[in-house]
Amino acid sequence: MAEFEPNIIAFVCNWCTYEAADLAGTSRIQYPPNVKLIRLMCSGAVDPIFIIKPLLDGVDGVLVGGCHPGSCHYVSGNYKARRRFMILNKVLECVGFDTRRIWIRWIAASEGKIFAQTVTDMVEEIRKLGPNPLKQMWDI
Amino acid sequence: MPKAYKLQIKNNDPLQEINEFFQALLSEKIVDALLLPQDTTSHKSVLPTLVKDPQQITTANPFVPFLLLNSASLLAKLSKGKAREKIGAVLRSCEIRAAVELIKLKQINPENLVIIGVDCLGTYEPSAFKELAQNFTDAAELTRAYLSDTIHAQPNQLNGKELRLACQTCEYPTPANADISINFFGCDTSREIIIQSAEKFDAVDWAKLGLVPAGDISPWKNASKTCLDTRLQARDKLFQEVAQQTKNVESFLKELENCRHCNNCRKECPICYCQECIFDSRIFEHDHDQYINWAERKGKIRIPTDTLLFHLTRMNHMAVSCVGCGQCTSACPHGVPVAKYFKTIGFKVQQIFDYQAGRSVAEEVPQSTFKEDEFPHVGEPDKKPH
Repeated sequence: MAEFEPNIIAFVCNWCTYEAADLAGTSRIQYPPNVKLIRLMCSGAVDPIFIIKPLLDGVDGVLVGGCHPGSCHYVSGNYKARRRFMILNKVLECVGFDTRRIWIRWIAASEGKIFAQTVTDMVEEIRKLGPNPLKQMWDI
Repeated sequence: MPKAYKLQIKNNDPLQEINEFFQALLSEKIVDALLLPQDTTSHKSVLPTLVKDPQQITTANPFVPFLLLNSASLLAKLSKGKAREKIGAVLRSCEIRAAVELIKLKQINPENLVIIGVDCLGTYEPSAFKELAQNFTDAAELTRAYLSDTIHAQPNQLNGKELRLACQTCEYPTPANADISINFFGCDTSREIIIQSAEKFDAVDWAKLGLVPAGDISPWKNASKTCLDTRLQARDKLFQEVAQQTKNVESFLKELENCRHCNNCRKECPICYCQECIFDSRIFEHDHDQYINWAERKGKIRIPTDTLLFHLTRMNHMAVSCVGCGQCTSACPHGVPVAKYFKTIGFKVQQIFDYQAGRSVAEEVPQSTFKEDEFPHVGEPDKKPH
């Protein structure tokens, strides 16, 4: 059987984390191809349903990337994302879900290296966790 | 400080006396209109009415152990357009707390709104109430039987029927944030009821409405405390039980297995206020091929799809504002215990922000605000992943 390759979806903000991913690319920094980026204008635009839906559909991990606290292009979007992340984590933890599959990271436009490192780390952590068990469940 | 008065009960019938009190609130122009529960035409049930004419207050029954719906959602309906008339809304604690959330969510206009709170011993599930009502001549007789032990603030378990779980475990039996409150815990309701009025009604001559100063209201306070203690015990037991049932996703799914995605729980939720819910949108209308692909991938799928997604999304959106009124469970045609999870998870989510849904109009809903220096561990790569 082929080795398990984690499938990760990342919601990244237009102004910081997407720019960082762009910089990682133009700088030719290598990172695992397991991550699929979805660009949004702001991490504050990530509704919890965007994270829950792919997880229930069997994705192995979800990454949310935003600007560092204090440097949101829209002033407070990432602070609100942080609160929503706290709520999401608690709700999922309360229903017995493994919240280690959900990451949120602040990665600035200049931090191409950190973006690549974050993806590398996340792929390794998720690899250790194994495939998302929900992938096999028919009754969700 | 609220001022406490007594409404003396003359004919051994608190309902008749309270009916007259509501009539007086209208005729003395303390409010211009009243939203209050009255008998249906058959007198076997009680539903909210909006009254302008005091003569039309004939069967006021704010104590009935039945809640057709959480009336906070009615106040949202009444908030469209200019609030020309001063509306007095007779509400239980869960309805007031839902109204407080809706005021903060800009769904209820608090201008010209007078909240009249009542003590609540709890309510029955609609089906249980309907059955019970068959044994009584009318809802008023049922209510009188139910209120037989108000001195100890204990509900009379009519025919051994259990109250709704949300009520058994309710931490707020007495109304807070009310402008006028009607309290009967610790009172012999065949003799008197306590009425408390907030400062803004200090100018009202309550004697004109038949009220006399109450003096010592410590029996009410003590009985409220006893009632609360019983419920807190039941609540903690519920929290433990839920913790057992949500150890893993599989056991949580078992609880949801009868969900047929009718969305009644969402419709009945007083707080869930979006005009257009994502779950009614076309996002969840899929092509034939999409369903077949899903079924092919897993061999079989549950259909309608997205049951767990619906409940988890609603919890993420609303648990922070959940007041635990339990209408979601009562609205479920298949007995899915939605409220039990909302209450437990809502409690934990609200704890994160030191927030209590419905506690105060002054506290912002957690999702709409933030503090710069909170949760520093979130999003920082030097910390271990969550």
